[in-house]
Amino acid sequence: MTEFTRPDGSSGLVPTAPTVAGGQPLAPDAGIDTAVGMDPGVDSTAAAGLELKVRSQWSYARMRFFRHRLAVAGLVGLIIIFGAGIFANFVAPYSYAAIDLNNILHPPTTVDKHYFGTDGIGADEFSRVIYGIRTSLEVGVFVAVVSSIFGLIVGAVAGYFGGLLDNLLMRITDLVLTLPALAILLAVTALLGGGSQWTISIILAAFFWTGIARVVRGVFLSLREKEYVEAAKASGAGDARIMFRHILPNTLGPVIVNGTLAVGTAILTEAALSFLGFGIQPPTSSLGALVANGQNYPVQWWLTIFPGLLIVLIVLCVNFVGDGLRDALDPQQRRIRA
Amino acid sequence: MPEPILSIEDLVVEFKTEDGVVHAVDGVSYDLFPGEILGIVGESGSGKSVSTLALLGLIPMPPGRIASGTAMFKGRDLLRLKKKELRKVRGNEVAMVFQDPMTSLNPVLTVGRQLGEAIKTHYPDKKDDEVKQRIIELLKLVGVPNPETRYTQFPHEFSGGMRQRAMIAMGIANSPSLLIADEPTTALDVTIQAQVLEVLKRVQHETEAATILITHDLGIVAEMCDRVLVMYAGHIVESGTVEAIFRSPRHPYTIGLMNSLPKLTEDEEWLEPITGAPPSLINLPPGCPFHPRCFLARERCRQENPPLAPVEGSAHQSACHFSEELIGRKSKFSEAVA
Amino acid sequence: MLTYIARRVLYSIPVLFFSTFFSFLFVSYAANPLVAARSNPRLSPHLLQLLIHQNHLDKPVVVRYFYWVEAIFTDKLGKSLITLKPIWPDITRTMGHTAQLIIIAESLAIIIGIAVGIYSAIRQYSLFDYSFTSISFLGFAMPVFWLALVLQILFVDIYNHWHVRIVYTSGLNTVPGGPAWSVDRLQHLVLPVITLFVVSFALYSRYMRASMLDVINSDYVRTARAKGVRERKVVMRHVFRNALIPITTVAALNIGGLLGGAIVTETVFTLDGMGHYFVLALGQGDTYEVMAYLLVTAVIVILFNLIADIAYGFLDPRIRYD
Repeated sequence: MTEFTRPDGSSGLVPTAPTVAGGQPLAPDAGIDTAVGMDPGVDSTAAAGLELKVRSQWSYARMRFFRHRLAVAGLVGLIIIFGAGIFANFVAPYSYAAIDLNNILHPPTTVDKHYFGTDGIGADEFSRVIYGIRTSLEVGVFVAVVSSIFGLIVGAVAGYFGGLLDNLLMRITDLVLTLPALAILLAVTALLGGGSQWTISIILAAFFWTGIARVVRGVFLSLREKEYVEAAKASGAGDARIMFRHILPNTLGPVIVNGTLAVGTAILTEAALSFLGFGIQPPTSSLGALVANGQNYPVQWWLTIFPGLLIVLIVLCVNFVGDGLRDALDPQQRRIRA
Repeated sequence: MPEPILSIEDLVVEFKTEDGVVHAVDGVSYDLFPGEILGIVGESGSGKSVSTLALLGLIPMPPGRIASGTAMFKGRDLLRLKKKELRKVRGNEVAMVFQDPMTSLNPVLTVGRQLGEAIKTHYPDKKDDEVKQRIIELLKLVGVPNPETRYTQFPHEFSGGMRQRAMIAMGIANSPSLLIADEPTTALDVTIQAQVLEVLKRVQHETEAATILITHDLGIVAEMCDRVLVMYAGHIVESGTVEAIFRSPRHPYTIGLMNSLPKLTEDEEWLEPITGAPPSLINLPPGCPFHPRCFLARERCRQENPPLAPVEGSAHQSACHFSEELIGRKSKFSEAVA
Repeated sequence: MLTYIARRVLYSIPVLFFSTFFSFLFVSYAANPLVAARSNPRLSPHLLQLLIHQNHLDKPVVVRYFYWVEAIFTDKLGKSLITLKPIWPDITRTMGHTAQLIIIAESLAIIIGIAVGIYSAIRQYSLFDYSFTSISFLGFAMPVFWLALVLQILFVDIYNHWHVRIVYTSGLNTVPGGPAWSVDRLQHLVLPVITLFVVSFALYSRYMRASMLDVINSDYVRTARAKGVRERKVVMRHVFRNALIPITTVAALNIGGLLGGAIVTETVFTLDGMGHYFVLALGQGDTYEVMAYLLVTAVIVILFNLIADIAYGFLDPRIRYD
């Protein structure tokens, strides 16, 4: 759940707020609910022969993650797909620019390894898709990492210092989060001249950090009350540093989850931009652009289906992994009072 | 000897969790007689709440399970009742007052409506006016000022103490023969606690309902209860009249509990906590559940789980192999009771 | 309550001001209307001078902004610099079409989504729950443009093979400018509505499910059960009403996504709506048309948020508006 501000200024909780871009919202607290159970309590070194393993937080999280079948499946899927993208030069049977005018618009076949068929100029669709995966991977990871870092910094500062800075941040993020993301991104990319993969990535990151900043700020705000008193008492000097060492780790969970899911959203948004023609331009391959290209050949279904299908698969896997991470890093343990 | 109004025999309640099966209640048997106030005292995790929630079927059944036992109430086994029958008993013959009044009332419905629901559910033919009058009467009984105005207000407009009074009013609305109060004052300020307990006492006197009062506070037990059960790790370790137990506790845990409370009438240098940590309910130590922390522990304690056995006539029982060694041992409160 | 609304409206004005101001600056910088006008082959030198004078294109950007604001009220958003057509009629016409599409899709998504969410929560882990969880995951992963294309291709295919037209795959009416509420129009809207519906549906069903599950385990629901209330009534009266509260926020936050989805959907299905209008304007670098779209969109979003806040206040008595 994330915190939002109610109309009267009070705070409330909502299932983690969606980031919207190109009509793609973020999945809320999906996932299978964990079993309701009692808190095993402090790991007691009981009588001889009965020792409970004292697990560290991270290994416990890892255990929870791997128990989540969908998350593991998603992870495997991502490894396969992104692996193909990273090693595109080895995996793709043809180079991206290889044109074969004798073989245009060929349906999928195993002949000559044209698994996804060929397009209007005879280029191998399978190879183009693989290179497209690589582009998507680069864009997605870049946007997620940069926006997470930036969002973390801004959110921390705003949440900790509060006051005017915090207010300013909230107004800006309010605006950004509610206005139609795609419209604004389209305007920016269209008018600034998109085309370069990195320009698009930077523009997307400049948009995405707001969501993460919001979450981080929320954590800082809620913890500031608790930890501050103790920290202030414990050591007068350098308490700012203490706070960053105590509060910051608590934000890592939500940041990791949001960052992971941002990879999917970024890929979807970039695909939409490229589809409309305002995103990444050739020669750099983009799955969105491939779909757009396929639009010209409605009969040759493989030119639209396969690139889009890969987008769906990637985002699906990312969402599964993100879901698993969410369960692992923020388990909802409901206690039954004895 | 009057007939017990409630007779629980060998109740076992389990919860399935990721880490194993939690034995929340592990073979509990006791009787409750009409008109008496029975206290159940113990730490968090002792099973005191779960044992009563099981009576009304309020344990979430997928992870929870009533493994065995019977609970005879007015000639019927509550644990074997069909859903429909059980529903008729809830809030009618057996009522429950919960711990946290902040969260135990529906925030979007008026207090009057919710209290009225308690009556209307079991007496749907009663006219609205009648019900409203009755509710206002009840609110007066529990000491809520301006009951007519309060009737139309929402829970968030009530103070904590008032909310708990309203909950009590809701509990006695249908004149139950058995009232279960689960830590009714734990969430309240100390001064308010006294008031609410006062209300509880008054209400019990008026309705003559048999009452089970669950608490972790020995002071409340001394103040309110006729008899008391001491629970630890899902077992009853000692039971008897308040007077007998306070004067001469015969279980090491009870003694430990009493000794760990600060004595207000004398100067004390050090407090005496019970050594060790609360047990894991998944991996209970073999034999007596308390033996890892017990100052009387011997080899036999590691092997045999002591049954509840009478120590002074059948009224005072203790589950300790060596309870005789505690004869003559006075607790901190012995003088107060004598 | 009225003071609250008044306060919110007043507060929205500076927001609108800032967002349009920065948008204007950006758009003017990126697509300089002076340059655009000068390079427009359709304009004779005389017309060019007139245009520059009328739209104050020779003045600094900030000044131009205020002339633009003035034009909103006096000249109904002014005229396009490229086509020289007045903007207002185009905007209102396209807005109507987009509104029709969005309202139908969103209403369906809310009603069906909430219903599915409720049932999924009540029958957690059932086949129903698992199926719809899967569908929702797919919905979140699916690019709107791709779904639109797939549907389009599918039905073009059906028509090519069997010469049966069930639904149309492009345009708003068979004859442009046709009636808004005809079977013909609905036939044209089926695919676009489905496209927008899928993603919103996933959103509402998941959030409703999560919200229901959250509430179902709360203390006050346990109190209701302890009173002996029938389970169905517990769900309807206690769980549902409380679970619905966060959904208003979700709905408000979704309007941005809807408008974005509309852009893509209208482009694929060639619908004469606001999104398509916007994309075309961007392609031509038409400053005033782009600004008109951004302004209208901002107003819609702000309005929507206001409505959501008010609805929230109705559902949750803990909110005080004075």
